Amino acid sequence: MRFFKNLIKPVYAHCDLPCGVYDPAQARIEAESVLKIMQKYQESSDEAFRMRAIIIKEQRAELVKHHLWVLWTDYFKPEHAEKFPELHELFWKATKAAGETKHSTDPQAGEELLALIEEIDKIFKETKKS
Amino acid sequence: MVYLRRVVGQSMLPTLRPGQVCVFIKTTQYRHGDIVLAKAEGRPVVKRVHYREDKIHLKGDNHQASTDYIITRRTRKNRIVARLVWPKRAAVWLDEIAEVERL
Repeated sequence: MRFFKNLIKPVYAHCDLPCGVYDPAQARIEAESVLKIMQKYQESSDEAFRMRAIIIKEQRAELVKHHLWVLWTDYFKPEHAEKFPELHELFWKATKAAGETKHSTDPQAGEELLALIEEIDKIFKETKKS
Repeated sequence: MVYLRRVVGQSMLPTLRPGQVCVFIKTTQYRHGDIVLAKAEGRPVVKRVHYREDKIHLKGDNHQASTDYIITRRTRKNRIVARLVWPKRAAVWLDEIAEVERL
């Protein structure tokens, strides 16, 4: 049975470990969700909805942190930090900002997080050129 | 055209398990929530379709362990090839995921 199974071509449901594909877009997408949730939270007066929004916002903010840490620790190398001396501080600020979005419902916090991810993305693209 | 494929990796857990055999049919029509076979960065991948504004995001159900992709009109390197039809249970939105999407 296993023999026949192995004859079937694979389709990949993979994570960053085997393939080495990295992209700040992952953090950005989750951060966009955080911002949208904050906006919807502000627009709603439904207490049940607002409670759900907070729970899901926490999860998405945690994912932002996760994706940033994967980029920071797995993708970026010492030579990148040498070339872009602001890199470490930028990641530190971005992960702090992701944490801030957990205990804030102010969309401003979400926008600040997205701006920092954008800065990281610019550096990421520069590293891809070389 | 029908594609028979074996899942490698954990990004579609709990919907699709590693080693699970899936059946896809070739299609040019897909909806938000469909599981699809796509060509991304030159590799065949299985992901779920999420529409966000004018872009299509291909995401794994296991957010903690998924490399996700974006398809835009300009992007030619990533494209959807076929839609999952079996296992049937997996072709349906998981309630938990749909909950997040409806927010």
